[in-house]
Amino acid sequence: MRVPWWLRTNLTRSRQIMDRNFKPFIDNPQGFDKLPEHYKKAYMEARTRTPIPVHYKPVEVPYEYDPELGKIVRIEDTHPIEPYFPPEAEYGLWGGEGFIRGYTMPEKSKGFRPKNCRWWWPKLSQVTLYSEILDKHMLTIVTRRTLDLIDDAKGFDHYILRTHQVDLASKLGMRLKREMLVALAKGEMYPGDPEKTKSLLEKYKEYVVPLEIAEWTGLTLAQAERKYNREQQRDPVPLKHIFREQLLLELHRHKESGEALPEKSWTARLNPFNRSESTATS
Amino acid sequence: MSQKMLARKVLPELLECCGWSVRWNYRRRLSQTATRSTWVLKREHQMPLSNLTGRSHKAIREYEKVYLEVSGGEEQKPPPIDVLLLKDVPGHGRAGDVVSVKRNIARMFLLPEGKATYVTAEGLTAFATKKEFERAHPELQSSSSTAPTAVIFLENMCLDMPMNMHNPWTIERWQVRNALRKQGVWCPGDHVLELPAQAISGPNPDQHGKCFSIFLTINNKERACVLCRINLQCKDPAEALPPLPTDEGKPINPVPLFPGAVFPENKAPTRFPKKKTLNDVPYVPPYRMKDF
Repeated sequence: MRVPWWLRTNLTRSRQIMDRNFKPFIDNPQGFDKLPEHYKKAYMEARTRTPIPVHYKPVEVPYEYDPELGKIVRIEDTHPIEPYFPPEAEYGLWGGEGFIRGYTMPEKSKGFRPKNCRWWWPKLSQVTLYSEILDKHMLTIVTRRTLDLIDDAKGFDHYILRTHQVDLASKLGMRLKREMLVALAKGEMYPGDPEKTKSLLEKYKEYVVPLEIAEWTGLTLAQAERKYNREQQRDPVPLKHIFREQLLLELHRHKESGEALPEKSWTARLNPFNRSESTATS
Repeated sequence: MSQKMLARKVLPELLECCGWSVRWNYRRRLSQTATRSTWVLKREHQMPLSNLTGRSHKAIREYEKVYLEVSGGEEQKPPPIDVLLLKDVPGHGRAGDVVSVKRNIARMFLLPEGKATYVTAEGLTAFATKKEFERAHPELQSSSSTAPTAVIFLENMCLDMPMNMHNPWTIERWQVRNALRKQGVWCPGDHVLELPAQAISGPNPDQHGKCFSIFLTINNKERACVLCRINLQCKDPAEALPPLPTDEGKPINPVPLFPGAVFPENKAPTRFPKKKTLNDVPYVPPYRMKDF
């Protein structure tokens, strides 16, 4: 995988899951460079962008009063608390929530306090969501945070389209986004109902992108590689088909212009090994 | 074999032999309503700060993952949400109203059923002309959001009037009120009822199972035509007349008590409005993992 070393070192654990179980471009190390520019840009942004804080409160003011020291000290989010996304998170819409593994300290003890290992996990629920653009009801696994975000965005389609890949943190979400963007770019929602299609295009006009970009949004590296290979793949054309077309074109051109076809050169006539009628009779 | 291995491998096999299924499925734990809020954590100890000249973060160590819970985990009641009603919803309001409802009711019923949308400027302008028209012509509107459904309910039901088989009687308004109360309909007074002009008196064995119509006024505005059926009763089971049909969901053929007793609105009422069954709900296939 052709990713700069400084990008790779910047990765946090949650970002690494994007390419977890496969090694794309293992046969073709230069393959990443051949992908379209807009895809490479979006991919790099998804790897480097910091997600919206979910499981911690971000530091707004970098200074704080410390009552023990009696003075103002500097504070910083050096290591933000990032969750672990299990494979099931990619097939649901958890709204950025995930599993956190950590420790808690018992309060009532003296001297040495052994810390207790603990997992904090999200409460999941199964609800049916409706997409207006795709005209589909979907039984999906969500958290309450997802439902709140959908309410804030005023609609499921608005939520999917306006949320960044890093904050969705879900393969399902990105697939829905891709399908919606393709439908918007083609303008093929609700066949047989042009008024509804027009109103939807007016409603979601801020998200419309060209079809070429829409088809590449949210693909993982393996999916992008597969798509690139499929586009490159063409059946070989036999040479006789090409030559036949060339000859037909030439004949057609001569017929239209009224020119005579070029005759055989005089050297061909002088060829003693050439079998012609005159030589055969003599 | 360790205790852990026993619990993981041997026990499930043994239990499955007995007909129990113990396969761990995380979907089994899912609930239909999301209740718990997101966990928000805080580090117990301050991590070493970066020097301001450049990156100097070290990899996080295990003892630095001691967390304190700031919020989350407790079951919180979600705040209500404002929605714009697209249809008349009994109990909530009329089309075009912006009402504040419980979040779960909006999520589970109003929004997916297409009865409401989120409040947007475009949606409000779509209903602006309708609201103006309603304000200009209040007489064309129904008296309340539930009144039209109440009229349908009353016109579809057949009111049983239990009358004595031996003692003489004449049907009065208070008897109709009592019969209505048995069906769960509460009348504010006798003035809302309108009996037929011809007095009905008995008892007469021919009257058993015969019908007549009355009028009921709702909110001094809507009028519902209710079908009443005389049911002659006595204490002695030997003397009792055959029981009247009470088939649910099937139309009843009303036999008029006298010519013109049954109004055309009550030609084919159903005993009770038909209830929804599980088969009416469409099946939505879920996304499968292999679709990706």
